[in-house]
Amino acid sequence: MSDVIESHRVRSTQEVFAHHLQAFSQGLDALVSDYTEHSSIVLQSGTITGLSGIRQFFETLLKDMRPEFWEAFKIQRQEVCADVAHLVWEAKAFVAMATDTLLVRDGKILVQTFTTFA
Amino acid sequence: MARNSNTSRTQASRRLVLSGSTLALASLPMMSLCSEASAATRTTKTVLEHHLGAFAKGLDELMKDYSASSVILTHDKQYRGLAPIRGFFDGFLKSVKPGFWEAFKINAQAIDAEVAYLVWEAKPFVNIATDTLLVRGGKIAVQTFTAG
Repeated sequence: MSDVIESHRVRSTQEVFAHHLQAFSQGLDALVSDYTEHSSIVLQSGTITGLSGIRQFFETLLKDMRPEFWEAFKIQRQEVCADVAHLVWEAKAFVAMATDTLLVRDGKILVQTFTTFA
Repeated sequence: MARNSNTSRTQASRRLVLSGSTLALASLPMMSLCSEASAATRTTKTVLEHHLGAFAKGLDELMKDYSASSVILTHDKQYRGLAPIRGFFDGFLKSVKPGFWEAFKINAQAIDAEVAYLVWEAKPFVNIATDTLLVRGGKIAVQTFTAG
């Protein structure tokens, strides 16, 4: 599903980060396209490694998200430092505050940590 | 940079940290480095444990985990290089109130290749906080820190 441009060169951390955020409105395939079989999502509850687990994680997430969630979604901080991206966001009434840290390698998310604050 | 894919929650080290409340400081708020130091390479786990243990030993010990290219990213600022990072930790250590370390508790800890992840609290001082450390060349290259 990646487009022509993406297939011809390695995406930067910023590009991967931006795509990850956009992909939520595009669906599961778009979301999963930022990961590989070696990717991990590290959560408070444990670590998910590999495409099948990551797909399942986002499938559940998307199912749980109501349209109002995106209206409430607001980025508090967004920063890229070399191959690391840091995001702090909120979706008040749903998520008081949350943070993501992405480690990008070869145009894909290699490791992502994700924490929600109740 | 080969990635050894052991995704492990380091229960043992968590116990170690919890057993000595002064050790706990390690995960506090903010250190990050964008470094590529090349000393004898300490593992991600070793660096995380040293970081946590260093809070009880002071600023110089904390700074050993960082290099001139290290970066700490927080919800509102970026600390890049040794002097800003030292300033950050100096401020933190000075701000710690009595009872902080007794209240410090690690809620989750994981290592995945060169990434270390920590979720902690020190109520009522810090309700919840999380650190992600990217370790390269035995140093913290980048650290993100967010407190809620």
